[in-house]
This record gives sequence, C-alpha cells and structure tokens, in this order.
Amino acid sequence: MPARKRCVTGIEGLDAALNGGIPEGNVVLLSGACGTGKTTLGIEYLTYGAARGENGVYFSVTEPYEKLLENMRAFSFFTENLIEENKLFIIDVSLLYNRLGLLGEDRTIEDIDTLLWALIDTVRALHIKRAVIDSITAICSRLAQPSKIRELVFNLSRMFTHFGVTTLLISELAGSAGRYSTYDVEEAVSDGIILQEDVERMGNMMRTIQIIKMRGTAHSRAKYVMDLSTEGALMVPLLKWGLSGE
Amino acid sequence: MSEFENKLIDQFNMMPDYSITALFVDTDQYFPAITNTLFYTTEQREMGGGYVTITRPARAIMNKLLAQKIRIADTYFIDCISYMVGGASMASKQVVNLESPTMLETVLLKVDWAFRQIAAPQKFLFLDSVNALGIYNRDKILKEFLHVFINRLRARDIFSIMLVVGRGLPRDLEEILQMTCDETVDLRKKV
Ligand SMILES: Nc1ncnc2c1ncn2[C@@H]1O[C@H](COP(=O)(O)OP(=O)(O)OP(=O)(O)O)[C@@H](O)[C@H]1O
Ligand SMILES: [Mg+2]
Repeated sequence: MPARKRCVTGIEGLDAALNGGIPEGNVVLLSGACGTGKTTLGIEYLTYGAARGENGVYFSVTEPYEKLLENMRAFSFFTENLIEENKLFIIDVSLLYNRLGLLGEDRTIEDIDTLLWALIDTVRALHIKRAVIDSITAICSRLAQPSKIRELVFNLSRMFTHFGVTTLLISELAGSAGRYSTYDVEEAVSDGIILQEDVERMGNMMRTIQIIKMRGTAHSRAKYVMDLSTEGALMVPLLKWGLSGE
Repeated sequence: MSEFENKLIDQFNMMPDYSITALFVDTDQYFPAITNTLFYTTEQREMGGGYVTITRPARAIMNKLLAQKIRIADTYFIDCISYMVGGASMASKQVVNLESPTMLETVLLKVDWAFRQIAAPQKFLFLDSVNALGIYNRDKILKEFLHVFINRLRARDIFSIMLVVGRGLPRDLEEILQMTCDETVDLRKKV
C-alpha cells in the first residue's frame, strides 16, 4: 500500500509526531477545554498551507471576524495578505446562517442539508485544501437530536474527504475525562483525534497536546508540552516524571 | 586576576570547540564564574548564546555583565525567576520570562528559541545553575531534564556550561552530570 500523501501542518513537533503530517483528506477532531489554544493552532495550520499554495478556510462559529483577526495579528506566523490574495478565507458562520435563512434556534433535517451544502459549495468554489470548523460543538448545539448531529458530521466528513480537504473540527470540551467530544458522534466519525489539555505541575498550568488516533499513519501517542507564544505553537515531549506526585 | 579566574581560564583554553562541561564552583566564586564564562564565550570566541537563569533575574545578570564591559548583544536570556518574584515587566527582545522554574519542557523550547535568534555562527549555552533548578524541582524530574537537555545540546553542537554552585547538590544529580557531560571541572576548594 503506498503511503498516503501528507498535509503538513507546519506546527513544529506535531508533524514529526504524525510521521510527516495529517494524511490528506482526513477529518480530524481537535479537542480541548477553553483556552487551550485550539483556535490559534487552527489558524497556524491554515496560514502555513495558504502560504504554500493550499487554500484554506476557517469557518468561525464562536468568534466574530474582526475580533478573530485582531487576536491573530499578534502572531508572527499570521500573514494578513493571504486573505487579500484569496488564499485564506475566514467565514463567519452566523452570517452564513442568515444568508441561508436559518434563523430559528432549532434545525430541521432540511436545514442541516442546507448548511451542509453551503459548506461543501464553499470549499469547492474556493478550491480549498484545508478547512477548520471552529467549532463543531457550536454547530451541533443547535441540533436537538443525536441523529441529526450524526447525520451532519458524518456527511460533512465524507464530503470533505471526497474533495480532498484536510479538516480540523474543533471540539470544545467541558471536562469529563475519556471523552473527546460533547456529543460522542463527532469522535466516532472522525479520522483522527488530537487532544489539547491543561495539566498542572507544582501549581503551574502547562498545555499538553496528544494524538489519540489518526487513521492512515503511524504516530506518536505520547503527551507533548505545547508552548504558545507569538511565534506560534511549539512542542516538546512531556518529561516522564512530569506529572507524578513523587 | 585571582587564582580562581586563572584556573578557570586555563580550563576554558583546554576545552574543545564543542563540549559540554559541568562546572563546579564555590559560592563565593559565583560572579567571577559567570563573568569569566561569558567573557570567554562572547568576547574571546565570539559566540552568541543562550543563558538560562534561575539564580537571579536576567536584568541583574545583564547589568553585572555590562558593568564588566562584556558584550552580550548576541546573548539571549531565558529568565525562570523574575516572573515568580513579580518582576517580569522588562520588555526586551533578548529576554523571555518563564512562569516558573518547574516548566522544564518550556526551558527546552525557549532555548531553541534563543538559538534561532543568535546571529553568530557558533553558539553556547550557559545554565545558571543546576542547584537553583534543584530548589524547585524534584530530583527525579531534574535528572530526566538534564539528561534530555544535555543530549539535545550535544545533538546541536552547542558549547555548553552547566554551572553548579556550592556543595548542596545531591550525589546522584552530580553523577548524572558526570555521566552526561563531556567534562567535569571542579574548582571548589578542597574540604
Ligand atoms: N498574543 C499572545 N501571545 C501569547 N499567548 C497568547 C496570545 N494570545 C493568546 N494567547 C494564549 O492563547 C490562549 C487562547 O488561545 P485560543 O484562543 O487559541 O484557545 P482556544 O482553545 O481556541 O480557546 P476558546 O476555547 O476560548 O476558543 C489564551 O488563553 C492565551 O493564553
Ligand atoms: Mg477558540
């Protein structure tokens, strides 16, 4: 079996842990509690690709466009020109809802279809190779039943994979260990799970990142410490004695 | 020049281009040890470097070195202590502040950061000091850290000095240093 083509994330350490990058077309859940750096990682991933000829789209559900842009300007990896050059697209999903006439709180199966096709049309029309949905949790929160959530996430994954779009679905976790998504179905249908956590050592919080699963490649399963600075994310293996109380 | 300084300089002159040295000095020789090390690395060998400080805030070290007219324009400081004592307000392109000396993995990452900033072709790393790290970290993780850290430096051909001040370091930590460093230079007075 020939090795699958890789989508290089550009995040130092992560690509090494993935043996070269995310297998192209994979739909990956990027899970973490609030403030663990999911959005930053997502934007760095898109920026890296866009600068190398792979168009990227960021579907923002939780943050308005201007605010997001303002936060991203602090990072040295972020190149605003990529937006003007139509290589990096930021789409405010609440505006998309309005345009599609999806105004109510509850969604019908037809609404989900409408949204799904709007997302698919977007990635096709803009020749997208990389997508980030921030967050899939926020989209799903509008869907009352698990069956609807499954329908959306399953079809979305299938179609994005079909069009060769390597996708990060950002999943907002509210605690409970052993789960990587709020509605469980997201983790069942995704090709990969990358988990971001906060861990404590002697009273200080450190960010960690770990690849839980990734279809199509061998990968490290170790926990890495992630440092977020204005230069972007950097990773180094967590020291083995780093968490025990001894 | 004191006897200590002469001995230290002799030792430096015998060191190969790339080597990792555990340097043991008495407490009262702390300042001569750092100023002479930095003089040797930045002035004599014209290296750029990373300086990990746990003992004193970077600002204090920089002032000390500048007062001795030691050029530190190409030296980058990883300050593990200022933040914790509430003095990390200094904004400088040459200094990064760590929240705590227990964030050992972040030390590794910030040292990489320092090496990316350096303009000089040859690089050094000065760890000031192993025993100050020992105040905040348990022996097991500190041993593991030194093992990883030193081997990363070795892989990158960095001229490195691991400073140990006084005699308070646990025996097994000293052994780890002897085991992982290329040289051990002990300039402490015999007791
Ligand atoms: N300019 C900056 N320099 C350094 N660190 C920053 C900077 N901006 C943000 N951060 C760090 O990144 C964290 C937020 O990152 P990010 O927004 O990517 O996280 P998130 O997981 O998406 O959070 P949320 O759950 O709120 O969406 C902040 O809490 C802060 O610690
Ligand atoms: Mg976010």
